[in-house]
Amino acid sequence: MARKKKILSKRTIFIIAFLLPAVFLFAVIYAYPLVNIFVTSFCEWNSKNFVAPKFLGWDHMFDNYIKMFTLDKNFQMALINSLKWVALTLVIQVPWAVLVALVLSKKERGWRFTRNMFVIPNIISTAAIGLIFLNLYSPSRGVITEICNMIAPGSDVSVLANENWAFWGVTFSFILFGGSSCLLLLTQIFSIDPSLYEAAKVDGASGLQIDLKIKLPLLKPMIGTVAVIAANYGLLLYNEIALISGGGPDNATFSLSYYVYKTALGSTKLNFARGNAAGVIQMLLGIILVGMINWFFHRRRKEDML
Amino acid sequence: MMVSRGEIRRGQTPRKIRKERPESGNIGAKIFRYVIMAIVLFISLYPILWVLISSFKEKPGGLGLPEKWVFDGYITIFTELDIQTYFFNSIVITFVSTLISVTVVAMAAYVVARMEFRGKALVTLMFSTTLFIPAISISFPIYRLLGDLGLRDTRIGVIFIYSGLGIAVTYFILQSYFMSIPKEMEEAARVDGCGYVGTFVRIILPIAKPGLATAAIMSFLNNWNEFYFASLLLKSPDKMTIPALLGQFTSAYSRNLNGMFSAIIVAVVPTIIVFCLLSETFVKSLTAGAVKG
Repeated sequence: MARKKKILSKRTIFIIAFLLPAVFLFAVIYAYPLVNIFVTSFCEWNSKNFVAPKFLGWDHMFDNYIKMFTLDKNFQMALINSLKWVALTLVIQVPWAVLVALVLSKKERGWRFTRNMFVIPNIISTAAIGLIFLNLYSPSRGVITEICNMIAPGSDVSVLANENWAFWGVTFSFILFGGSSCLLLLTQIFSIDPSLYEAAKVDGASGLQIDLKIKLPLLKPMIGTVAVIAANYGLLLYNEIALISGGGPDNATFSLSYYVYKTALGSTKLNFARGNAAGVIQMLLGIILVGMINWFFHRRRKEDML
Repeated sequence: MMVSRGEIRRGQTPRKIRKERPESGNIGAKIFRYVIMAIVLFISLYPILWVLISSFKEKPGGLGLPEKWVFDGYITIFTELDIQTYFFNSIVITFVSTLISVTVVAMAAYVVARMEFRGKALVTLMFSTTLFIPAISISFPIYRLLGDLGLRDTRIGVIFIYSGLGIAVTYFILQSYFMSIPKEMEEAARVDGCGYVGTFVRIILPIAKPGLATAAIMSFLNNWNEFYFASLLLKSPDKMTIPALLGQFTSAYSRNLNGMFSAIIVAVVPTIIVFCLLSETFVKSLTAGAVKG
């Protein structure tokens, strides 16, 4: 009995020792900051009382949130833009990735090369992508202005100086780069048992019919996974904005991430509490979004979720 | 993010390429497919090729080829800008943080995959929740914390943060890999008198190499490319990573156009070369990890 107890405790020590470093990383990098932003979002905390955040009081505890939603033009713009970017990834990026995956799955000559090249924009640094698009849009050295001048001489388009165009300028720096999504979908298509559509082919179904009626429904869970990843990327968009537009012109290309950064870290009139409140909103939106997408794509396929 | 376990395993055995090309009869469909492939190639490659061509121009930018090929940009970034320093920083920070992150998570994932103990579900829950915590939302407390510890603007600070970012993905990859290893392997080792740590180091880690490689590639890629924390935390040029340097071109070095175009190329080419050499490994890792950025 004593012997068994000793073995047990050795085992316990092993378990604790092996879990401890990961738990430590989690506690310091995720848990503490998470609790911190949540608590301080109910405080008054800005450049005037930097040292000690002050609780707003039970009656006014939601003031940061209320002010953000009702008075803060930058936040309103950031919220709308981020939701737009989420919608655009779902409407443009995901279908585009599905289309390319279906096309590549036919294994025409060069499909593997095309697939690999499609991944490149996803594996190089977004800082580089941002910088490349900043230059492509530049009126003095870019190509967009030059092309527009060929079509309409003298138009002198400056993508990033116009409020509406700047939004699309940022959008097109990432929206068509669905390479890693395409990879996931492609793996899934190749794992479909061919016997499932051989019969349909014998019955005279066209390639398009097979794609739409057989492959697409089988792909649904993976499309859901891809949609979650893409929508999350749209919701958290930061790098492209920081490098290409800097949130401007005016505040036309603010995103929630960019707002959090500007409000808590990157300007002169710092308001830490409000930045943290925006962080809480961003996180809640992410959870709601993932829940909605999963619900939509996995309604009858719960067993496919991790 | 939410790849089913079956997915990860299925991805590991490359399927035999089927020789027959079923729908090749329809010419219209074939043309359509090639048009889509051409568009994909264009949008993926044109931006990079444009920068490459521009980097050799006397006045970078615009359409067309250079009238005179100049290499000034490349010379200045190596002599004046010392891009080697940034590469060195990137390599050190990425290597160390990837090593720490994979080691630490492997230990935890192994314990969860193999042992029964109270609070096991809690550990998995803990790693899963990190998927829902956006790094930028929590960056202000992290920034303050590193300031208090005196780790702001240090490589150690960045290594520490990178070690923790992306632990969820690493955890899912490794945990499912450990689960796929037959238990008999460890039982045999235990009978031979191998301790818990010994079994893990000598038996499990060597078997789990493919899973570790997958996790390491994902982690390496993310840390190599990470821009937000690098630009937030690293302010002195001698400590900056390559993405942080690129960020500087929008402000500090914005007038050195040849330098900027050359720096973009020098920054992306190593990744592209490694990817082309190991594309199949990368493809497998990307489909197992399923998370970008």
